[in-house]
Amino acid sequence: MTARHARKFLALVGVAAASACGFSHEMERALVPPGGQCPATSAGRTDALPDTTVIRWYRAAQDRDIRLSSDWCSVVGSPAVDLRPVPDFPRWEQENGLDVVTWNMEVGGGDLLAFLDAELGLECSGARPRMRAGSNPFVLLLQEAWRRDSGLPRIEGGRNVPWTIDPDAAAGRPDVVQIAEECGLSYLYIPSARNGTDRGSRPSEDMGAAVLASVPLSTPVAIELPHEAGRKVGVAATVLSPVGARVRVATAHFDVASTLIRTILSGNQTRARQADGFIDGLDAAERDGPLTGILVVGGDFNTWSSTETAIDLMRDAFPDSPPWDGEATRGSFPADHMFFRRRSFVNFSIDGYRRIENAHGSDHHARRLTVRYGADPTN
Amino acid sequence: MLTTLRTYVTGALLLASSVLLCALPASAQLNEASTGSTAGGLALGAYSGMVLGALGTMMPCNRTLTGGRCTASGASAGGAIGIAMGGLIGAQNKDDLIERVEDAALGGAVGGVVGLGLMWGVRQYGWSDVAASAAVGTAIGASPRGSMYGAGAGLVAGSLVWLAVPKAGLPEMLMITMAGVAVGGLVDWAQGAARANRRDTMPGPSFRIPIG
Repeated sequence: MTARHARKFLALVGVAAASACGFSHEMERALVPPGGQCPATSAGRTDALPDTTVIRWYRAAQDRDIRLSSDWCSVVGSPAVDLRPVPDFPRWEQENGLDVVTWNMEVGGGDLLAFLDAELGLECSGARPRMRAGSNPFVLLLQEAWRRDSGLPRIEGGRNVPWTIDPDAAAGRPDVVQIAEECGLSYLYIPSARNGTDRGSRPSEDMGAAVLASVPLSTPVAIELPHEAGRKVGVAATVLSPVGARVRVATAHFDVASTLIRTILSGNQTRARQADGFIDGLDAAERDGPLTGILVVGGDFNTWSSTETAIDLMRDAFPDSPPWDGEATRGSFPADHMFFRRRSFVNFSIDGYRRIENAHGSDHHARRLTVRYGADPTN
Repeated sequence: MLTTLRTYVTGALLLASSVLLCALPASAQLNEASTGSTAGGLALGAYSGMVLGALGTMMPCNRTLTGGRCTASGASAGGAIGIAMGGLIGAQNKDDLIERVEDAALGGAVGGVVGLGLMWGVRQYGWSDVAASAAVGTAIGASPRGSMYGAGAGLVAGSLVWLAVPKAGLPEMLMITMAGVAVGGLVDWAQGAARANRRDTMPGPSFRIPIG
């Protein structure tokens, strides 16, 4: 009896072990075929000098991640990118700082034009966009940014399309690409999913993460995160500091919950897996060059607690991050955070980390900080 | 993430418990029991304990840097307790085990219905999630009284914490409630094992539906 039961239990253990193999966060560099918008093939390491003007893709490498993410990606539009802002915005000098702001704008719920005006001093309503005196140059990291696109394939249902976010508020408002162009900003928009199906009269939309900046951007990077409940793509770009050192800014939006079976089998490690993948993707981008030692990350991490594993992992990877200020950003949940690492670049520092009180119509409050270049504090 | 090492530890614990239980003297069996009921007790206890252990530790472990391994440890511990207690019950009291199997089936059915509701309401949910919901229902159903009492106690304690501790919120309330379900369920298994050689039934509500 003992031997028979032992075999049964070992078989059960084997099933558990096989299930556990589905939770790796291994990342790989991927290539998008000409004319396509989705990463399709793996790309090995290369010693060639990186092209800092085209989007470089990284993706979660498990078969399940690739299959599902490809399925979701097949119904969104192409990324939109313009790395040069209009020339008359203030530059990042030693005397000022670079404001970095992260905001989940809840698709059309958040009023992006009002946000740019009130929080970043950018007026887009006149003949030419202008920044008010005293305003710092800025980088705005957006989640749930959205775009109308009549060229999207018609989709009436399916598990690769999430529910529509904010079904009514976007009507009549310009989308993120229109606003970026109207305001003369450099931008990088990577759609990750459709914003609902094509039922009713609402135009086809996709949504994803975006980087909008009043300074030039380079080295655009897209990181397709490990697939849990939906496709999420982290976005990164690089700005030049006053002394020419590169500062990478990156944003991500983690899932609020995975499917039930994955939640149970992974021990509720949905966001931890996405954090691991995001960190590995950023590290891979850094290894592939050009070297960028300073990194600011902001995003909607959908965390229920400020001490969640995903946050601990991010803090571990970004040891110079500001401490959580105790402020919730979505209802009572501390969902949105910012992280920072500077490695040996001790002349760079951050200050002013705080929540922005006016949500401007979104269901999330934004967060902001300022990156400064100054004298070496160790001297 | 469940690691291979943790899986081996779980397997070792399961095997050790099996050996101990199979060494029980036949004289310990005051009520009707059989090899089949012992095996059934081992299997149901292991399964229920493992799921309860995972449920109870899932949220607190998700506040540590080693969240996945921490939850795997909780599942391992729950599985070890469950297999020991389930084996003791199965080896001594077939009726109690049959009752638990019936309760587990009912719990699975309730879980399945909940899963169907979730699949209807959440677009990314599929049949595997219905099955997962049924599986959790089965594990809770196998220890019905303790899980219910544990859920109640956890809900009360969690609500008090939510009210009394300024930094606590809905996540803390849910965390304590789920821990209550797990602790209550495992205590149910232990209590069942302690009473397995008696003929009196355990106090408290039962999920059983009289059929036939």
